[in-house]
Amino acid sequence: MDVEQNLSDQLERLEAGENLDAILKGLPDEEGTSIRLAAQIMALPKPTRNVSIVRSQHQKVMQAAQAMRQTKSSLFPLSARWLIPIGGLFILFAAVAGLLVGITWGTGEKRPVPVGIARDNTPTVVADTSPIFEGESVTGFLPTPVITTTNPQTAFLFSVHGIVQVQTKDGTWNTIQTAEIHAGQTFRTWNLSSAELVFFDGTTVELSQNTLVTIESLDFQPSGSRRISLFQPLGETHHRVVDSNTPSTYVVRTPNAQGEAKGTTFQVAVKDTENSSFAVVEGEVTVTGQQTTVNIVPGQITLVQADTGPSEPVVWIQDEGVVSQVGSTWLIDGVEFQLYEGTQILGNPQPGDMVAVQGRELGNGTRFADRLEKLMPALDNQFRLIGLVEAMGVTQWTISGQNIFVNEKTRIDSGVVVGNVVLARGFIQASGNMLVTDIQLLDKHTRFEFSGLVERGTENAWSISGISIFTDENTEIFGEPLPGDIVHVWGEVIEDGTWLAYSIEKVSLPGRFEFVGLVQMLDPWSIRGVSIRVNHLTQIDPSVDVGVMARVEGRILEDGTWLANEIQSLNGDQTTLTFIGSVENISPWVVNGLPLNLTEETVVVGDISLHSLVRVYAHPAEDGSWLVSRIEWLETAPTSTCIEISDVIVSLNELEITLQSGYVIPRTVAEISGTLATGYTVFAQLCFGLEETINFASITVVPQVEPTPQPEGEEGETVIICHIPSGNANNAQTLTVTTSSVDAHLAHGDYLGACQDNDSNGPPNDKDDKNPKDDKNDKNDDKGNGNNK
Amino acid sequence: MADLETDIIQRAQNGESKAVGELYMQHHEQIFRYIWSKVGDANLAEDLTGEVFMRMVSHISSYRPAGVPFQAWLYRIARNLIVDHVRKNSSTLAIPLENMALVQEQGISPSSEVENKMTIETLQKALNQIEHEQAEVIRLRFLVGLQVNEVAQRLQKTPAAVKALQHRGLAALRFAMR
Repeated sequence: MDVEQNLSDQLERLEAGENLDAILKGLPDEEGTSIRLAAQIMALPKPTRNVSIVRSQHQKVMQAAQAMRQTKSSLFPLSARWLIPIGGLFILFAAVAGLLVGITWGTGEKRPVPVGIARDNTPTVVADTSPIFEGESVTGFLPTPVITTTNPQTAFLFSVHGIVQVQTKDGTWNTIQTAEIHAGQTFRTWNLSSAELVFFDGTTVELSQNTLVTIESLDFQPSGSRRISLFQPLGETHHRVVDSNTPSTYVVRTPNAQGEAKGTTFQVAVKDTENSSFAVVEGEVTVTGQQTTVNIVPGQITLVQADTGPSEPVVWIQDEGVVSQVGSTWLIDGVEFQLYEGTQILGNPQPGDMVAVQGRELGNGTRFADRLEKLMPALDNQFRLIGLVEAMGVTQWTISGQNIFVNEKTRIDSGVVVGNVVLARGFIQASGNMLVTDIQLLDKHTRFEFSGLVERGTENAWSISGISIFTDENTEIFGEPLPGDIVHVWGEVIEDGTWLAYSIEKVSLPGRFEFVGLVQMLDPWSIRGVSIRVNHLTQIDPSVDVGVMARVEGRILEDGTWLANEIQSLNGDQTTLTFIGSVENISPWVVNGLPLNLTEETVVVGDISLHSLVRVYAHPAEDGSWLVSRIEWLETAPTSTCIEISDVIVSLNELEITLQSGYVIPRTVAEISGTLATGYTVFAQLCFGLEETINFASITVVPQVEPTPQPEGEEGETVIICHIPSGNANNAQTLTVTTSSVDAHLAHGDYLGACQDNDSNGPPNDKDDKNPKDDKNDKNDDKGNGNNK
Repeated sequence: MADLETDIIQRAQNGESKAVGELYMQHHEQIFRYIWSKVGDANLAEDLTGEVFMRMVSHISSYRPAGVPFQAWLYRIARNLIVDHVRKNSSTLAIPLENMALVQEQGISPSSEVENKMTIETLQKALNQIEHEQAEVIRLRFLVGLQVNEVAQRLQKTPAAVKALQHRGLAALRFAMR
């Protein structure tokens, strides 16, 4: 019998109540010591549960289940595509004048339900959910021990993210994690912060960021009736009001207004004293302002305007889709949305990106976008490759056996040498070549980067969006950030697990996050101690599991939660390739120009056919081909992160080129063919990266009708050279490079003009000719003539 | 038994509050004990236990019986919550003085509380020094009081693997407590 089994058997005897000395008799010392230790641990006094708290929690979870059921029953069917509420997100609206605004739960005749909207107004009454009085606590479930009460005349703030404060009697603000709130108290959330307020009967109010609320009155009667009045001068709230069998009131006031509700779910947004709106998820709400009253039903929204009162209810739109056009009119999944000055745009979405849109559809069919938020950058044509650097050349690298192309615009982490594990990101070109725009070193001491809210900060210890960040004498701090500010922080998680910042810089907007860490938990996710939210758009490497080292990338939402765009396994040195592309051929498989090898073990998700958009997870096979572990069909129509436009240069300087359409192209990412000048027409291919910025641009000057003499040697002029890779003279390639880089090429043995000998093992020159850069030059001549205005 | 629980879970997923209440009553004691074994503070464990079940209510619709066992799923929620709590309150998890009243209510004398506190603290420190999985097995076996098979189910391991972790964990703990 092995020692593990024997130890287990002896421990079972101990648990069964046998005498310890009898068990230890004859056992080896080591085993005996282990059993003694286990006995000591087992003998520790164990706390028992507080009965009143157990009763209270039992009651509370049942009430929560009931509230959840009521909310779910009100959700719109998926078929009502433009009316699907996106869980947890509040509407943000625009509009207008701050008057007296109120809402009243409609008790009268119901209005017709708009087409496509499900409706369930039947109150669900469950006997065991009636309010409890006489000494029952409702607060045992709250996450700190200090909050306990038997008083139903209070509400509780919990589920706090970021900074949430309660105002004291002397007007100062106390930052809290949870708090018992009485009538008359005011509380607020900061940037990237959120909280939930729960009343005695389970009625809840979710507060979004930058929201201010006062409980004006709060009274529960033993009969079960309820009287609640809230004042909301600013921000967004989402109310789930538990239905009551007895006469009750639930009042929400915005400046100069008041109203009532019960047994309904609705949202209130107050942009400022002159802009507010109300939308209903469930039930019916009456909104009053300027002596005008309207009733709104599920799926409707009304804007309250100065001097005119609430507008006629219109269809409330919430959906997700891919942007194919920006400007004053946006096309999202082919549907037109008008923008106006009140439209809020978050995350700078670009063509190809997935966005969440919230807005309204007027009676004449015109749709206005109130809020557009980027959900996910377009990934078509982009790839991410994690692997071992085996060779580094001027134009070609080898990473885990795969040839990738770099150029002078490729951003490469300092210190990368052969033998490092790196993450390479870039585009798969039409030829199938993998052009890298960014190479990042993935060393053991994992780096991190994110933009978040400063919750606390001392000399060398900070709390930023829930993460404890430490600084040392080398940390650079810019902008004198204070609690409440948003900062961009990057650094390294050192060996003892400390997040050490290299720099902390105050910024105006939150951005993305990126870090590497051990996956501690799935569903809900926890990576390196950070709770990570995922959704249906999150790309999760199939090999990610608990215990795997993973790289996670995403953004911090307004409510302070961390939403992942991508979670990618970094286990071992295994090379992984992830990309989204269009199926160009099946049997043999080719996606985005890359030949792929699918085997019986490949997991194929969805009905994939020619031209389907798919997400591919692959690993290199020994023969250098890509072995696909998983290929998924994506519902979204194919889009490209790269756009091609013909445009006019309106200004240019040493740093940037500005086009008439508004695109500003950094010269550092631009491949330029021809001589640039203001007023010139150019043909440009622009590619957008994860940061919404242009990270690759190919600009070709269209021959001008009246060409301006070009200054000699101006930056942007190109030269054809023959490039001889270091240590691989047989792999010579004909390249077009900028004049500024010619000296560097000549210095290591390249020569001017096309290569004379094409008989090499490297990419043949005819393949070079397929390189889009060369294509562009070729196209330029053709297209340039065609586009010559 | 499994069918009965599956039925309760399905009813809970359909929003039946009574079924949710049954799940709470079935599991609250062990979840409480587990959290206490991690945080060493009974009052805090009370509160976090409540929060675990509130999260259970929020997420139960996404639970799939064909995936992890329900108990294992609950333990995941608890572990995540503890991680969150530790992250937000990185200072200390020692038993606060203000909780003495509760301890007395439960019939534990102040002197034994101090003694227990020290012992629990010593144990916590030692558990933090050994491998995570080993520490989890030690907690679940000897602080929560689960049998090997039950631990295996919650950690989604084989009983043999749990026995091996138990053996190595006790050995490592002995070393850590020296």
